[in-house]
Amino acid sequence: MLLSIPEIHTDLLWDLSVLFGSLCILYFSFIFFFRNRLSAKSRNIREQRKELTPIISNFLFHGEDATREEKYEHIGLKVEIREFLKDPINRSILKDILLDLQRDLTGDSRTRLLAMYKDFDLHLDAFDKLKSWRWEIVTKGIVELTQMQVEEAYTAIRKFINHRKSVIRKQAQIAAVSLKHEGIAHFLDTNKYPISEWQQIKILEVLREKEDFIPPSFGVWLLSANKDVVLFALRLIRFYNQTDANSGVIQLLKHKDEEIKQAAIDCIKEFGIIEAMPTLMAAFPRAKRDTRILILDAMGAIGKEEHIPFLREVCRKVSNFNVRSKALGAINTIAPGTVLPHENLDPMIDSDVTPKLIDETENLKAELETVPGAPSEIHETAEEEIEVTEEGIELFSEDLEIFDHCFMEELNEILDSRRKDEEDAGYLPLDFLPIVIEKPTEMDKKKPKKKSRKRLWNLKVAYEVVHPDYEFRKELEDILSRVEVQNPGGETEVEYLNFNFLPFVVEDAPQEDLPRENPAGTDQKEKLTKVTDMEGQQTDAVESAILEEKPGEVSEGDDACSLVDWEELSNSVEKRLTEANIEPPIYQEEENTLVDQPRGHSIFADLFCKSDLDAKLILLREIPALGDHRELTFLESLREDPNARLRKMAIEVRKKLSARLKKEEGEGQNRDSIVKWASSSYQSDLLNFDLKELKK
Amino acid sequence: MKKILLADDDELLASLLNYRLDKAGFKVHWSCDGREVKQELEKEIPDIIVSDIMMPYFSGLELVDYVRNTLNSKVPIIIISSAGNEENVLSAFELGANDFISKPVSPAELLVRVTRELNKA
Repeated sequence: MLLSIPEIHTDLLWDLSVLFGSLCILYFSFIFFFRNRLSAKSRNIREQRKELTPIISNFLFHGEDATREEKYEHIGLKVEIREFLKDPINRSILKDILLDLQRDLTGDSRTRLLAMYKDFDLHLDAFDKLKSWRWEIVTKGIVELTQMQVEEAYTAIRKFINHRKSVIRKQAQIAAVSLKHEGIAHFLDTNKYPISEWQQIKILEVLREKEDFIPPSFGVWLLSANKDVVLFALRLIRFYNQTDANSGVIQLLKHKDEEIKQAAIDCIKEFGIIEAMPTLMAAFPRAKRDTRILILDAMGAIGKEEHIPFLREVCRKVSNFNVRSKALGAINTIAPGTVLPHENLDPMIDSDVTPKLIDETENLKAELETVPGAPSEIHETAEEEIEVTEEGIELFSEDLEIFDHCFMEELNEILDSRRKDEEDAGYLPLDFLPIVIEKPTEMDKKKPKKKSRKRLWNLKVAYEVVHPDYEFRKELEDILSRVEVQNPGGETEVEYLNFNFLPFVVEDAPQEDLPRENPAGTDQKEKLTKVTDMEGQQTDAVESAILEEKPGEVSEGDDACSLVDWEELSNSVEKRLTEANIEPPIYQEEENTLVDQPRGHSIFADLFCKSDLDAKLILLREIPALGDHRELTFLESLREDPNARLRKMAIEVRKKLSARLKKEEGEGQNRDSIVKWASSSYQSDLLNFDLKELKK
Repeated sequence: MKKILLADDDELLASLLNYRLDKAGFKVHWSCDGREVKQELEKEIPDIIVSDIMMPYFSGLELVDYVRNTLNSKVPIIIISSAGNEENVLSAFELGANDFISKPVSPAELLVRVTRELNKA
């Protein structure tokens, strides 16, 4: 199907073209006409302004000292202007000029300008605007009368203070405050609507610019039922520092509205009203978070030390971080430095020590050749820096000795008392604890002594690891210490050897690391004859082992323990057990059970009770090296210690101790194969051997 | 008679100040924009310049810079600035302005400042 083109008459097309063309011409003609008219009007206004400006200038700067001609000229201009102002357009032009100029002028010129505005009755036009039903014209009238400071308009304008149209209302409020001094009072008395923050600032600015303004006592409006009036009154009280309203402000702390409360708190803080403190504290529990923060802030600003307990209570009881931190801040504001950060601090960092001084401390170690009994580490226990000279080093050495002596005495006393009370626990004397000696290295020996400033708490003292298996140690001592010796008369004497000099050495510890404080005498003949078992059973009088050593045969590193070949001894015992057809007793692995079942009481616990913080820290540092499973329980209990530093250190020490105990436990299983035989009383019967023979 | 170059684009205020200064016995030349001021300065250096900071084509700061650095003139310059326009005032002083007066202007105060600067010069 073919599309057919609609038939359009050519005449119709022409008619339409003519119509649209005419409309276009008409449209552009209108634009051109109105544009020219507006331009002509503005040009006319500009010309009028140019003509009027000198006249206005003449009016503004016409002085009493003017000459007669000038006065005649002035009067003539006045008449001329009055004629000129008969035209409403001209009145409007002059009014605009005056309104513009009053913004750019100040001082006497401005006063004259305002007077001129009234002289020419231009304000009457503004009064007429107030009667308009259109809100924008009313607003313009109010603004004009306010700018030109027409006081007569006050009564007419104040009626608009509670106008339902907010624009009119706001302009009327500003006008009322601006035109007369009593305007602010009237406004606060009669205002029924909310007063926005911006409006408050605008009114405050108007009041500030008012000359000779004597502010009324704004405390009166604290009783207003309008919340915004109360808030604005508080703002005005603060602005004019009206301290006579203090009691009213304090009373507002009990207000139900949080905003009013907060404004009152700000006021109290600014005025430093100390009388408000009880009310502030009383208001705190019922206040919301923001108000609480403001209360604490105010308390910090005006509070005294007697209010710190309350703030501490807040810190303890309030869970909100912001409130708590504000309370801490308030405490520190009242008493600076009262609360310091204490959590998550590295106890090893001492801000008093600089890296340079640490290097110097290394030198100090060279100077301190031996410090018997010194603790393994000395750290930040001292609060103040100590300058160390040679005299100081001597004193320090003495101090360390005294400290060590006291420490050992204290330990022994506790141990003795415990031993009586808890015999089952089988506590051991701590005589076996090694005396810690600072071992100077070869390099240190070569270094010359220097007089320098050193920090004592950075000293590092050499120490050795002591095996924790005290049970084994005790039993071994019991077996080996009792020795029967035949004197020249043939009588047998029982002697008890002291093995305290022996270090408690782990099997795989290198021999050269062992201390050599009491090496076996090379010229001494030791005779080990008969060894009794733990149960006191006397064995047969078998010739005991006599160890005879020629002078010089024993090397410098050998001690009494090293003279015994334990492996051979073990084999020998096993062989004899087999010959006697006796089943070797099954050894109870006490060590393993100790880890899981800590028993007894930690010796550090008692010392801990009697010590101050520094001593406690020292004791804690000793635990990883000296402690055993009993200390694990003790360290666990320290997790609840009130002192955060101790808590943290206890956790660290416990970790170290656990790691060490686990490590030694693993090593102990290997060592057991060699030495556990000695713990059996049954096997000790078989220890009647000739060590000399064994040595061969 | 001392010559004052008044540079301000606000015709009304400029006219008023012009009238006041003229009445005080000064010969005032008013320019309403920066280009005009520049042309005027190229013709003749006045005894004192009173200039608004905000002007079309050539701001008051540029004018100070032009006078001090291009013309190498030590003619006193008083700057008129809006209230709160502290940065511009400081810049003007750094460039070499002698004094400033803020709006709203007191014509009497301006007259005193002009007289003082002329006396200094």
